[in-house]
Amino acid sequence: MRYRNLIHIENRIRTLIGLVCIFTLVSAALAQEQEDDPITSKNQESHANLKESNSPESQDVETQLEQLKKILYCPCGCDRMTFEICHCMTAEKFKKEFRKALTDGQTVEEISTAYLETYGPQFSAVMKVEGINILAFTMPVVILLAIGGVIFIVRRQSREDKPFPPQDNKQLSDELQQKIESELKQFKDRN
Amino acid sequence: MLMEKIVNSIQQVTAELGQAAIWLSVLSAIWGIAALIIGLRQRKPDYLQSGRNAVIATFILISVATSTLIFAFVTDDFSLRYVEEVSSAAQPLLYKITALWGRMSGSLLFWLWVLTFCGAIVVWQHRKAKDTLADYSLIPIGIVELFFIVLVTGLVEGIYNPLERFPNGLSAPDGQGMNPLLQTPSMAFHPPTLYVGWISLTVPFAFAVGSLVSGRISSEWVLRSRRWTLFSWIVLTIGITLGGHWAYQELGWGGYWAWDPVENVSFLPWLLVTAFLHSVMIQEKRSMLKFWNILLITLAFQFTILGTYITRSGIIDSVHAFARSDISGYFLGFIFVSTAGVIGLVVYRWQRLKSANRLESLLSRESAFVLNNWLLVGLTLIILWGTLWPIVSEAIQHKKAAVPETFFNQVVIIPGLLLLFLTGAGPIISWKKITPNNFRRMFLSPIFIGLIAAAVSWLFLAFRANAAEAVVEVSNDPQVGEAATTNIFAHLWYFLTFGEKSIPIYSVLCVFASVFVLVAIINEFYRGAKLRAKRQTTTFLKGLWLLIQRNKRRYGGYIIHIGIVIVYIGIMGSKGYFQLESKSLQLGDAMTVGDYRFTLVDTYQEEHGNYNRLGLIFDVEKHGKYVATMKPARHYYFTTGQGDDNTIESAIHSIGMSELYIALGDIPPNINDGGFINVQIYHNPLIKLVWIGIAAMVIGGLVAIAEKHEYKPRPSIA
Repeated sequence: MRYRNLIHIENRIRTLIGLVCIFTLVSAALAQEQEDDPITSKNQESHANLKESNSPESQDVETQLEQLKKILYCPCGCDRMTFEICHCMTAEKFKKEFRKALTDGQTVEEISTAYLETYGPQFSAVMKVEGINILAFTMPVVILLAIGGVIFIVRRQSREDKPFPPQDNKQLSDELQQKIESELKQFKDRN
Repeated sequence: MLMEKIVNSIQQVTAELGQAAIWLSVLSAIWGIAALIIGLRQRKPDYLQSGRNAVIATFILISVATSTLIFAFVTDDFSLRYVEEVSSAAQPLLYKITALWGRMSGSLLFWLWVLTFCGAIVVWQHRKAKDTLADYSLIPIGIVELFFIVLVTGLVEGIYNPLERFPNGLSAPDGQGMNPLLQTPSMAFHPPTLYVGWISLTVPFAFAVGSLVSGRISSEWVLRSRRWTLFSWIVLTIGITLGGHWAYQELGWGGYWAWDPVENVSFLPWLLVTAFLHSVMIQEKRSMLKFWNILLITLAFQFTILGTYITRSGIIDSVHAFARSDISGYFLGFIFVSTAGVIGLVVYRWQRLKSANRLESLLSRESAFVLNNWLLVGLTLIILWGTLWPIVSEAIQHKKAAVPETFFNQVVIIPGLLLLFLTGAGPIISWKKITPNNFRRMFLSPIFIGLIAAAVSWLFLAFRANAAEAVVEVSNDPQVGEAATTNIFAHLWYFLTFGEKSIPIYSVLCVFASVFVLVAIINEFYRGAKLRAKRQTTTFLKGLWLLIQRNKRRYGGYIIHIGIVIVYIGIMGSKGYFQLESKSLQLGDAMTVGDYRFTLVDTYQEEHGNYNRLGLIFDVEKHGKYVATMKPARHYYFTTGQGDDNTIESAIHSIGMSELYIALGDIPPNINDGGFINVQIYHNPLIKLVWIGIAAMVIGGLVAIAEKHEYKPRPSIA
C-alpha cells in the first residue's frame, strides 16, 4: 500500500514537473510572440516597424526618425541611452544627421546598419533573436529547467537517504496517544 | 585666523594618524582571528575574550581612520590625493561628507567601517550570553575585514590608500569636485544604504559558516541571524529604491529602472535574501532545506562582493559605475577562495545537512516555498546571465553586445508573474498537504474575485486601446459591416480581441494575480482579527492590532506581500502605459502629451554655491483648464571632477497616482531670443504606486523584524 502511494506521488511529481517545464517553454515562446504587449513592447514596436520602413515612401521622415531614435544607443558615454531619451549635444548632432540621411532617401535599416558598423553592435538597443543571441534568449529557460531538475534530484535523493523514517502511529504509547488527543481537543475548543 | 591655524596644525597629523590606525587594524584583525581560533580549539576563555576585544579594537581603529578622512574633507585638506579628486572648497558640506564614498578608495574604507561596526555589534549582542557559535561566526567576519583592510592600506596595485598625501608636501589649491550627478540628496544616501544592506549580509553568512565549522547545524544559526537578514533586506530595499529614485530625477529618461548592470547587481542579493527569508521558515518548521539555506546565504554574500566588484571595476559599462579600477584579481580571488572554503565545509558536514523530513505533497506550503525559491534563484541567475552577456558575447564573437531593457523585460516577466501568484498562494495553502476543505475555504474567493478583476481590466484595456472606435470603423466598412450587422458576436469578438492590436495578456494576468493576492491576504487579516476580537471581546480594529502583535513575523510578511502587489501594479502602469513626447521648442511654443498641454512661457536663472541653475517655466493645462506650473532645469557646475559639468533637473508633478515629468536638453544661450531647446515630456501612469508599495514593504519588514525569537545558547567556555 505504502509502495503504491510512493509510486503514485512520484508519478504526480513527474507529471507536474513536466507540466511546469512545458509551461515554461510555451511561456518563453509566448514572450517572443507577445512583443506588442505594452509592458515589453516599447522598443520591439520600433523593431517591428524597422522592417516596414524599408519602403521610404510609406512613412514620412519624422516617423522614421522616431524609429531610429528608439533602436540606437547614443555613443556619447551616457551608457544605454537611446537617442529617444538622451539629451546630450552628441545626440542632437546625430539626430540632425539621421534626418538628413532620411531626407536623402536612405532607409532606417541602411542608416542603423551603417551606424552600428561604425560604432559597434553594443550601440544597438534591439536584441534580435538570431545568431549568438539565440543563446542569450534560450539560457533563461535552461536555467529554470536546470534549477527545477536539481530540486527534483535533491528531493529524490533525500527521500532515499531519509535519516528519520516516519513513525507508525501504532508505535505510540497509550499515554502519549491520550495526551495528544486531549491537547487536540483543547485546541479545537479554544478555536 | 587662529581657528585656521589650529585646523592647519591638526591637518598636519590627522592623515598620518588615520594611516597608522589602518596599519594597526591589520594587526588587530589578524590577532582577532588567531585568538578566536586558538580559544575555540584549545578551549581557552582568555583567548576568546581577547579575540572579541580585538574585533572591537578593529572597529575603533577603522573609525579613527574614517573620521580623519571626513575631517580632511570638511576642512578642505587638498594635500590628500583622495580629497583633491572628489571634493572642492565650494562643494556643500553634505556632499563634502558624502564624497567619502565618491570613488574607489574612500568607498572601500566606508565599506570596511560598516563591516567592523557589524562585527562590534555581534560582540555586543553576545556580551551577556557568550557562546561558541557567536565566537565561531566572528572568525569569518574577521577574515572579510582583513581582506578589506588590506585593500585600503595601499599595498595592492590599483587601489591607493585614501589617506595618502601628495608627494613632497604638495597641496592642490582646490579640489576637482565630485561628479555633479552624485550631488543630489538621493545619491547622498543611496550608496551608504546599499552598502549597509550588502555588508550586513556578512553576519548571517558568518553564522552559517560558524554553524558549519562548529557542527551545530540546527536552526540555531538561522534564528540568530534572522534579524540581521531582515535588516539587510529592509536596508537593501531602501537602497535600491533610492537608486531608482535618483535615476528618475537625475538622468532625465523618465524611468526608475532600466536593468542597468549596476542596478542588476544591487538587485541580485535582494532576490537571494528574499528566497532565504522564505526557505528558512521551512528549516525552522520542518527541519528541511538546511543545505539549501547555507547555499542561499553564501550566494547572497558572494553576490555582494561581486556587486562591489562590478560597480567599482567598470568591467561592464553602466551609468552608475562612478569609480573604476582594475581590481578584478583581488575580488574574484576572494570570491573563489571563500566559495571553495564553504564548499569544503559543506562536503565535510554533508551527513548533518540532510533533511529530517520530506515534502509530502507538491500542493503544500512547503512546496510553495520551494517553488518560490526556484523562481527567485532562477530570476537571479537569469538576470546575472543578462548582465554578464556583454562579456560572454565578447568572449565568443569578439564584439561587445549591449543587452537592452526589453531583453530583461521579456525573460523575467513570466517568472515574475508566477512569483506574484505565489505571494498570495503561499501563505494560504496548508502545511504538509492541501485538503479539499482548505482549497474551498482559502482559494475559491480569491480566485473568483481575481477572475472578475481580470475580466474588468480586459474590458477597460479594450476600451483604452480604442477597439470600440475600430468596431465602428469596421461596421462602416460595407462588406464587414454587412456581415457584422447580421452577427452581433462579430462586433463583440472584434472588440474583445483588441481589433488589430495584440491582447495585453501580461497586464490582465498581472491584474488577476494582484487581486488574487490582495483578497487572499486581506482574508487572512480579516479572519484572524475577527477571531481575536471575538476571543478578547473587543473591537475588530483592536483585534487586528492584537493579531499583528501576536505574530509580527507572519503579519509583517503579509504587509510586505501587499506592498509587492502595489509595486507590481505601479510597474505595470508606469512601464507598460507611459506616454513620451519629444520636441524642439522656443518660447511661446506648446506641445501635447495625452490629455495635457504644455506651454513654454518663460525662462529663469538662479545662482548657487557651486553651480548655476538655468531653467524653463511651463504652464500645464488639461482640456483648457490650468493644472500646474512646472520648472525643469539644468545645473551648470563650476568644478566637475569626473563626469559632465551639467546635470538634468527634471520637473515632476503628481496627479493622483500618476506623474507628469519634464526633462530638458542642453539650454542654448539664445533661448530668450528665439533659440530652440529639446524638451521631453512623459506621462507616467500609476508610478506613485511603485514608491507607495515599497514604503509598505519597508513597513512590513519593520513589523517583522520587531519579533524576538527566543533561543537558548549553549554555555560558553568563557
